[in-house]
Formats: sequence, structure tokens, C-alpha cells
Amino acid sequence: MRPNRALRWLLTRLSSRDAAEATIGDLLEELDERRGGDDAPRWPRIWLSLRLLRAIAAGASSAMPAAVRSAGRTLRDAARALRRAPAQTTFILLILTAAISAATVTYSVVDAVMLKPLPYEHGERLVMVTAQGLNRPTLTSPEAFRAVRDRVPAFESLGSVFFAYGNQIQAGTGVELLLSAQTTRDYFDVLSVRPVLGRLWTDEEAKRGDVALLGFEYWHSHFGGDPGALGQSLRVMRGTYRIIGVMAANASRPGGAVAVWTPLSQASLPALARLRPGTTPDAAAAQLRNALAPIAQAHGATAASWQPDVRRYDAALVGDSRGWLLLVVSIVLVVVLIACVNVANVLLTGAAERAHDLAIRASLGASRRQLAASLLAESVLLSLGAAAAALLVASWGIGAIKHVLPPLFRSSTIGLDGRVFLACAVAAFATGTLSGLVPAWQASRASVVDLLKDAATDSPARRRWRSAFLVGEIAGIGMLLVVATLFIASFIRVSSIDLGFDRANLLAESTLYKYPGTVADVTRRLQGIHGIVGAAAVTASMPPLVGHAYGGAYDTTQVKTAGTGARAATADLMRVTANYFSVAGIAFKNGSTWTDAMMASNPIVLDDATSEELFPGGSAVGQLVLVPERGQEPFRVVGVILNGHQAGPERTWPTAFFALSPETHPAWVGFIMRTSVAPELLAPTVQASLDAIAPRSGSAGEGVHVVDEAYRQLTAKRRFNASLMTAFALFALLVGAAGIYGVMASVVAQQTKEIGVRVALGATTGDIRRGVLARAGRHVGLGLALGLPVGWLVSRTFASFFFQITPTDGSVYVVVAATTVAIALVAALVPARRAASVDPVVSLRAS
Amino acid sequence: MTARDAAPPLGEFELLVLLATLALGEAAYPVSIARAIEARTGRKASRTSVLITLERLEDKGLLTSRYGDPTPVRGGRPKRYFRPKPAAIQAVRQSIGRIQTMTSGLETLLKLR
Repeated sequence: MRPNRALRWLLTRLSSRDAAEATIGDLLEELDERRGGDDAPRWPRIWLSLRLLRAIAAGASSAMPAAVRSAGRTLRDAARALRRAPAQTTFILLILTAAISAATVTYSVVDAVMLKPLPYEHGERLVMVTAQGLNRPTLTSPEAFRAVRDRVPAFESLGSVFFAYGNQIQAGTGVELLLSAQTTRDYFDVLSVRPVLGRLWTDEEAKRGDVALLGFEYWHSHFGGDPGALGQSLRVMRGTYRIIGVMAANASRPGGAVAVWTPLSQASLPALARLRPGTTPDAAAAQLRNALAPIAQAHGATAASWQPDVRRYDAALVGDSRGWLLLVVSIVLVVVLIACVNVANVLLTGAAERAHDLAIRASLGASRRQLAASLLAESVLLSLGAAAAALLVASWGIGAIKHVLPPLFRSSTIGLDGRVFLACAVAAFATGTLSGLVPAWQASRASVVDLLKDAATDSPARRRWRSAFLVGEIAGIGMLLVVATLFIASFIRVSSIDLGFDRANLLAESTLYKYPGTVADVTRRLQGIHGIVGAAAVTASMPPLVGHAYGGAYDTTQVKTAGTGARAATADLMRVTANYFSVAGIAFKNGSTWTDAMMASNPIVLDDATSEELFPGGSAVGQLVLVPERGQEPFRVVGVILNGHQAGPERTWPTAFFALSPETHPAWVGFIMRTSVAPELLAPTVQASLDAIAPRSGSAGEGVHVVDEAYRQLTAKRRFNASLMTAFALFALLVGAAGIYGVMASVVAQQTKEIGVRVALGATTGDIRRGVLARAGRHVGLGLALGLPVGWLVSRTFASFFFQITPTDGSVYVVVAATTVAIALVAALVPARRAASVDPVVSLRAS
Repeated sequence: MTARDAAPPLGEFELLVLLATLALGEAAYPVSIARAIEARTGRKASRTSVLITLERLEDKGLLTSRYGDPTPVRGGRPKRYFRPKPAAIQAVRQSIGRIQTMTSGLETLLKLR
């Protein structure tokens, strides 16, 4: 009979060829012997395999180094110890799970957004080249692009790209709104990507602009990856293009797959460049300023505000989120530290209670190192258990966080992968070691005699450590609460801002529809829908909030007073129907909206800010103003409205409104509608009603929107931050309360005898209670004295995140201190009452 | 700790395995050892546990082992023979000595005579 080959191989691996052969020989001999006797196995082959498995198991266990075997025993002991204290184990597991999950989820976000390298060859050499003006948009002239390309030696290559979201793309019969990009040929050189099929366009083809490259994903989803796609034609918006190639997938910006690439006729800034090896963005920026200097001179004063800039592409893509992510990471670190300190404290208390256990083990010959190792093993085991639970929580949390995160670069790629798993393991190991180190060290320092002596009471060293931990924990909580309060207060302040109009029950249609008939016709159609009580028109895609939330067009212009010594103000110019103000719920400070009779005199309504700028101290109503962009004819101010926040609560844009006649043709016009029912319910009806009379244009942000939803979108980041900080603060407070309770309860338990003596000597229950509370108070006071200044320092670094509140605001610290003290008092109350109820007779007799 | 205690202490099964190895001399290999223990004590001894014990004793420096030539029986596989080192004799003597020390005076109770 021949043994199973796999088992034989395994046995050989574990010992040697000879040893394995001898073992198999022994087994075969025994089998023969049994066959001769009366206990022959029924299935010899299975019998042999089972015996081989036993030999393999035995071999594996003896092949392990002694250290591993002893570690295994230490872990087994630790597991037993943990099972003996189920309440403490569960409590620690919960805290560590929460901390490790928070760390893992945060890392998954940071990794996806910031840490993963760009998918390009030497992606660190890619830079964004911009020449942003302060008020004007960017310097976009092709002349500037040529100057940069020819006169900045630091750039190896320079390419221009223009991404267009939601362009109509038609391949075959279906029209879809997808991302397309217009680029120069050089753009692909900058990224060093090549078509996977076909070729790039020639200069001649680029000039004609009638060829296209398919995006890799689009090629697969719409052409099934068929090379026959080459030579076919497709439509992008109104143009027809011949497909000449398929571009590699990583040519798209991470997180946004481009469906179709077409030639860009005129290259301009901002552009993407590849630095020559060895050059820095700063050196390139200096060359860039020199290259643009002649153009700036030619443009005179307007060029003064230009700010040529060279930024690493990865940093440019991550943008402002970087600072915010750093803040979240530091907050999570503090939360994890608080959790670790708390667990360390619980373990220290547990070690005090188990001093007797340890003393017996020590007197039986366990070395100090073994005792320390078994305590450390307990905390590592706890954190490993917590890590397993945390992975489950995190896999759910990562899915959930993707839905609530404000828009971030590459946020769609956030997921649980090997790197995140590793981070979780590291977090678990770090928390386990951090929280177990001091308890283990304490156990290893004590001599057997000390341990036996201390078995009944707590050692002073341990008590000092616990006090220090508690103070540290409260300091961390105080710091966290300062930052959290600033975020929450910012959100409350943002939310309580009066926008100047009524955003509830308001629908807006932000589009470039081309309707048949007049504005009045469409308005009547809208007002005919049951549930709509008023509808007004507004130019372009500028309805309040909606335009800013979903992308709109703005018309900023100058408004001047007439006559000599003219004053000027810059304002957004909106064309609205007369009922716009009543439908939007905008209140007038002076005057009112225009009537039909006033239409001849060019009526205009200003907001308070513009009016104050043009007519300081006086009333604007009745005055004449000029809008040079709209001709020489003066406008007569008929009303002044209170300042509003059309662009969102955090921005005040001066605005002027002039009349849109209901009888005009409604091209480039949007509508706002006041509803008597929940606007969400009406939006589909309104959309259908408009679709019936005009086709959609396919532009971004098109369609009917609930204004309140736009508001939520504009304040999403603040809301997210406030909820995140609230969650962290609550967790920290809960953990802190548990920490204070734990330490006070154990102090009271250890001092029962002392308290008994004091009561016997005449101390009242009030004295005893006050004593315990004062002790808790001292810890809290010291913790806050350390934590609040650190909180101030940290939040000062992130001051730009706060709205209408600064880290120097004293009320923040008062609120934080009051909250912490209140929670601490509640947590210390139960131990204090327990101490006060100590019966001296019972406690003294017990000892 | 005295010099006499230098030999590592033996467990009961280790003692049995060592005694069988001593008794079998040149013919001591796991199957024969297990067979000898079973025959003399009537106690079941699995081949695997005998082998593990033998290896442990080898680790403790009480035994050495060598591989014999392949034989036509046992599927042509060699035997692994174990031979006691001098320390083994000392360890066995100490083990038995301890038991004798402890049993002295208990002979009547234990009905050893």
C-alpha cells in the first residue's frame, strides 16, 4: 500500500526524507501486524492517512521554535484570564473596536484621496500650470500658452485639456450625457500614455477637429472592446467624429473616466506639464513668471493681479481637502489615544484586582518577564479581537462613509483593500501594545513579596499611573471638545443665517431650455400645475442656491451712479420678472418691485450693499444708475432689498435685478416656483411638464431642483464635519465618563477600610462624598488645564475651517469645561455615594 | 540545585519509553518499543506518541538515532533506530530513585511486598 502523496510530501517537509520514510515504514509495519491480528482496520487506506495526519500534526508542533510554543501557551493563559472577567473584556473590546474602526475608515479615505500615487509614470513630476487672476478667471490666451511652452525650460512637455461634463455623446442610436475631453496632442506626452489601439491624431487632423479617440472603458462598454470600432463615427454634441484610436485607461483623471477624447483647437492655460528630472515646481514657477512678464506688460493694469503658479498635479487634484483630511486624521489619532489610555486604565485596575493571582504565579516560579508577557498578551489579544470586529464594522463603515463624504478627489476608489487591512492590523497592534505596556511594566517591576503584600490593596505606583492616565485622558477629551465645539458652532452659525429669501417649498429650474412661446406662456403652464402657487422667471442658470450648487453661469458687472463724481459698485446682474421677489420671499427695505407702468423707465432693484456703496447714507429709491455693459440708457432704482445670500450662506454677493419682460422669448431663462406641498413631490411633475414642450440641452446641472436640496449640498461639508465631530466628541465623553467612573470606583473600593476609620472617627457622609468628588474634580481640573491650551493651539492651525467663530472665543472653553465637569460629576457620583454608605463596623470587621 | 539533579526530570511515559529502549538494545525502533510497552504493561501505546516521546528525549540529549538499511518488508522503508546515551541511564536511575525514596515506609500500605 502506498501512502497519500500529499501527506507524504508534507511529512517530508516537516522533518527529513529519512525520518518521513521511517515513520511511514513504522505505520506500514503496524498495519501489517494488525491485519494479521483481530483488530484489522476496515479501511486501511483511510487508517493510514489518519495516522499520517497525526504524525504531521505532531511533527508540526515539535517543529515550531520553542519561543512560538511558549507564546502559544502565554496566549492561551491570556485568553483564559480574559474569559474570567467577561464584563471588563466586553467593555475593552467595545472601546477598542470603536477606535480601530475609526482609524481604519479614516485611513481608507486618506489612502484613497492622498496617499495612493497617481497612475502615471513618474507622476511626481507632473505639475499644473495656472495663471489665476484675483477677480477675473484665468489667463486663457493661446499667446500665454505658447509663451509658457517655448520659454520655460523646466517643462519637458506641456499639454492643455478641457474636460466637459455631461456632454451629449451618441454612438449608434442612444444619446448619453458623459464626460468628454478636448486635449492637445502633447497632453498625452505629458502623462506619457499612448493609445492602446490605433493612433493619435496628426496636426492636420487636429486642425480639422474631426477625429476622436475612445476612452478605454467606453470602448469596452459600448463597442465590446471590438477593434472594428476604428473608422466608425460618433457624435459629440453637434459634431461628428471619426474614431481613430482607443486611449489607455489611465489617461483619464483618477475618478472620472473620459468617454471620448477630441482635439483641442486652441491650447490655453491652465495646462498640465511634466517637469524635467531634477527641477522643482518652485524653479519652474520662477521661469513661468519670467515667460509671462512680457504678456503681463502688454495687458497693463489687469495683469497686476495675475498669479502664475506651478503646483504638483497630485496636490492640485486633492486641493483644499488636504488640510481638512489632516485635521480629521489628527482628531482620530486623539480619539484612538483616548481609547488606549482608557483601556490601559481598565487593565491597571484589573491588574490591581488580580495582584493576588500574580503573586501566586510569581511564588510558583513565574518570572517577572512571564508575568509582564501574559499581561501584554492579554491586551494584544483584546486588540486583535477588536481588530476582527473592527474589520466588520469598517467594511460597513467604508461603504457608508462614501455616501456621506463631501466631494473629494478619488473618493469613488475608497475601499477595503490590502493597504487598509494592513493599517487596521497596525492600529490593532499599536493600540494593544500602547494600552498594555504600562500595566505589564508595572507587573514586571513588582517583587513577589510586594505582590503578596499588595494583594489586598492597590500599590501607590499603580495609583499614580492611573491618575496620570486619567489626567491625560481628560486633557485629550478637552482638546477634542474644543475643536468639536468650534466645528459645531460654525455649522450652527451657518445654518442660522437668514438667506434673505425663503428656501422652504421652493423649486428652481436651472437650465438652458429653449421653450416655444413667451416667458408668460411657460409661467402660466407652471402655475397650472396643482400645488404650485407662484412662478417667476430668472435669467440664465442663476436661480438662488441652485446655480451655485449645480453649476451655473453668472453675469458680474459694474453699476455706476450718473453724473459727475460717479461712484461704482460691482454686482451680479440678474434679469427677473416683477413677481420674482414675492415668489422667492425676498423682503424690501425701501420701495418695491416694478409695475407694468414703470417698464418704460428701465426699473432696477438693488440690494442693500450695492445701494450703500452707490448712495452712502442716502436712499437709492428714485435715483438713476448706469450699467455700462447694457448701454447708455440710465436705470431708475425702484426698490432696495435686504442683503441676501444667493450663492449660499457663507457668501454675500452684491446683486442688482432688472426687468425681464414676460412677453420676451424665454431662451436662457430659468424659473423659480413656490409650492404649497413638499417640493420633492412636485419636482417630477414639473420636470415632465417642461420636457413635454422643450427638449433638454444636455448641459450640466440641467433640470428641476429642490432649492432646499441645493442648500444642503452647499452646506454638506459643514454638516458632515459637525456630525463627525459630534460623534467623536460623544464617544470621547462616554469613554471619559467610563474612565472617571472606573478610577473613582476602584479608589473607593481600595479605600473602604480608610473610609471606615474616618467615619468611625466622626466624618459625616457629606464629608466622605465631598472627598471623592473633590478627588475627581482635581483630575478633571488638571486635565482641562493641560487640554484646553492644546485645543487652542490645534484649532488655531485650522482656523480657516471655522465660520464666524475663532479659537480665541472664550465661550468655547467655558462650554467645554462646563460639559466635562458636568459629565465627570455624574460619573463620580455613584462611587461617591457608595463611599458615603460605607458602614465602619462592617468595613473594619472585614479586615 | 545540586549537581546530581543535572539530568532532566522524566515524565512517566518518557520513563517507560526509555526503559523499553534500554531493554531492546540494538533493536529499538518506534514499533518495537511500542510493542514492548504494550506487552509488558498491558497499556496501549500509540506509535505516534512513542515517536514524539522518542524525539523529545533526543532533544533532551538522552537518545541518539540512526536510520537502518531499507528492508523488503514495510514497503522497502528504513527503520529509525534509537540508542540511549549515558545521560539516559542517569536520568532513569534518578527517576526510579525518587519513586523509591517516596515509597519507602509505604510498602505495607501500598502492598508492595
